[in-house]
Amino acid sequence: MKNSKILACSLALLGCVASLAWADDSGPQNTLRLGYYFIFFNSSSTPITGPFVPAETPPLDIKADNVNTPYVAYIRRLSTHWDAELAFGLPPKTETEGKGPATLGAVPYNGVVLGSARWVAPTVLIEYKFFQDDAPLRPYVGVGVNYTAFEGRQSSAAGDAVGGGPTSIDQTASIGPAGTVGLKYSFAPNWSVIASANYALVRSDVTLTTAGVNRTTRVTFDPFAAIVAVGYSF
Amino acid sequence: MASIRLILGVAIAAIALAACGSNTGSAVPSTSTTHGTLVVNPPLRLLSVSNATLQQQLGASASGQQLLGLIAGVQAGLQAIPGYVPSNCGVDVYYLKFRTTGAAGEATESSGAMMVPTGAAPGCSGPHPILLYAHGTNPNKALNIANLEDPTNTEGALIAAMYAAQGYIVVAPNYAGYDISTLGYHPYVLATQQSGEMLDVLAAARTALPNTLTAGTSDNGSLYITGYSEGGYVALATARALDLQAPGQYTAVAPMSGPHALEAFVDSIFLLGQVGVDDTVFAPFITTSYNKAYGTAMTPNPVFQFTGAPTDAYEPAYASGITTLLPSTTPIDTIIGTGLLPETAVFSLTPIPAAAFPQPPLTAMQAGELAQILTPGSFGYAADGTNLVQNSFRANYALDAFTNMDGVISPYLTGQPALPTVAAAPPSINFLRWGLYMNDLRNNPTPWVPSGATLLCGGQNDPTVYFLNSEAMAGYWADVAGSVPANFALLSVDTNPNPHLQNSTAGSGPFAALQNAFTVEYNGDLATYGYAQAQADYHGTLVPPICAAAVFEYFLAPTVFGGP
Repeated sequence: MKNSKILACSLALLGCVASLAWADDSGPQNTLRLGYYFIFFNSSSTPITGPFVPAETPPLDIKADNVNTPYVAYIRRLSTHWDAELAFGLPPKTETEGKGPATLGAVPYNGVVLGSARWVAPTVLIEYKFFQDDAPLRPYVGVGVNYTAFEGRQSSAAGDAVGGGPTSIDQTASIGPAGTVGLKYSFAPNWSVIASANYALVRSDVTLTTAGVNRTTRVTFDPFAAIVAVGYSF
Repeated sequence: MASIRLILGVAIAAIALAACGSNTGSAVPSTSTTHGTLVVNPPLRLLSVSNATLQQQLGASASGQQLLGLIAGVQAGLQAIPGYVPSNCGVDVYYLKFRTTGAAGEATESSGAMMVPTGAAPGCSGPHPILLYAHGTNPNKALNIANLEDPTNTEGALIAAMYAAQGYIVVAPNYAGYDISTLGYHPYVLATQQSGEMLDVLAAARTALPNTLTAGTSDNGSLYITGYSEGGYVALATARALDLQAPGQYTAVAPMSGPHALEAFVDSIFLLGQVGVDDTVFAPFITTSYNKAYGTAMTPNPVFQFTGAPTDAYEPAYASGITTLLPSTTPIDTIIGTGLLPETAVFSLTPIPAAAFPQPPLTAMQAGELAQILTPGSFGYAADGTNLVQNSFRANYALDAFTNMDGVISPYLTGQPALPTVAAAPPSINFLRWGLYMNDLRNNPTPWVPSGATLLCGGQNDPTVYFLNSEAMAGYWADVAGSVPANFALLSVDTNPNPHLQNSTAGSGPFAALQNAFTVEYNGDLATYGYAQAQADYHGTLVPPICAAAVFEYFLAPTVFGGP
């Protein structure tokens, strides 16, 4: 249900993008980019609530480990100054670790990988390019929407030990604003390289179920990603 | 060859890792209603502590320091036992949810604790004996003995430190009516239900044990049973239930300060007028429990002139709502403070006249004698009508107790030697007394003696659960059943001939050191807080750790600490 809503939102956004594609047929209309994401998380969580959560001061926190993954994007030229971008990362396995006391009783906590999930995180962006089409170096800025689903969620053995038994993880998908600032350099006809700095607001409600007991927290991941990529236009 | 070994080693490591990183997800609760079923398997581990951390946390409070000192003393004293090696284990605490039955046989769910010893110290890993523990009366409905983070859960901390940290797998139910239970009442001093629940939590624990996060700890097959106060009674009832199935299923049983001889105990209150500390709290537990257990069959029943229904037994100020009063999430001090229960006053100071008793069955002389017996005592009476129990109900109970006298009570009235047995015939007038008779552990179709080694521990001046309960049980085994259990010991940790005064009587026998430790505690309490407070602390605070230590010693070496 939630996913279908998100899909509807994304389609609406693409429709909006399409309407910006007014007649402007100078040069290639399509670009594919391949590159690499370098993702840095600045995550934080609300205190974990639920039965039998140890009272700690400050409360138990979790954080996501930084991750790198291949970047794939399709860019549709809308006009001299406007592009639409649909960006994917190859879903990276992102690990979440405990942040807080070294141990809970005798169970290691701080810095221990508690679980992992694969991020399926497409981002749709509208970008404004500075200068003219024939300029080799074109800075651009963009805004858009990020959708993140957390697939393949898995608690680690250490996470099970912290939770008190085999644990299943439920995590809501996130929709949030995304932004980009980049620089494109055209080094040959139809070929370019880009470097960009990207930000998305990714929030998720996490429910950890262990032996019939639910503990919940809201995690704000706030990923910042650097991208370097090569583009081919056609 | 070396490289092949290496590759093989890597392959094995990879398989082991795959097994660790299981993606099985969390346990799905069982929907079975069969009693003894573990509802969530594997169970939730609430806590995992090393022995050092456990000691550090206990050491943060004065009572915890006393407990650590007591355990250290016990370990030092036991060095004389050949082969004894002190165990100082970490403890993993699991939360068990299991299916059981209520007072009327209704299917229900209960919860409890399984505390598993851990660590590399001697006696902390591998096969362990199970120690089945039953807790004492607790007015707090939220009690979860598995939750050692709860500072009010002193009994949980005691059994974790005394038993689990010294090498026993401790299994303890919270009891139906507590924690997550939706039963709405607690089946209280009810032998069939409570022993059944003990065996249900034991079955659940044995199901859980192979599946826990605590690798390498298993059940070695030996079973020890103990408990305190209400739980002392439950422990002994559990041994009896096992013996009725088949003798020899447990190694030893050691109930502490339990109301085993229920009929004699409550007769001493109603007939002899010896009101105890906390009787006003016990009363609602008992009447509710017996009404739930027997009410459907017995109420209304023309045989019982008084049914134990709230308006029959209790003064109007308390009767309304008393059936659902305890256990409660409202603190007991608030319940008493807001007038829902009196603090100590069970009976009225207004005398019950001889004319209150029907003649017959009594002669006028007997009626006069009974009225004389019921002359109000000093503790637990109110002159202003704030007492809990109606005079009419007391008179009815006393008539039953007087005309159908318990052998333990008769010497108090006539100076005759004790005949420690239950009433010759089932009570026929008073519903409450009938329930007590039904659940009195001396009441057996054929005489019963525990098949395992047995220690009865308590304090001879206990003002709450009188020591006569343990004495009556010992007397029953000697006089009625004809033999005492193996390695039998009846231990009073208190050697004081007069609890109003400082005790100067030294301990003697195998438990002398613990008796002396109790004397230090009691004398200190008496000197600091006075007699009334020492009485209030006696049963709930002073005796439990000392008897728990005695039970530990006894379970380790029944032949050393018990009789032949």
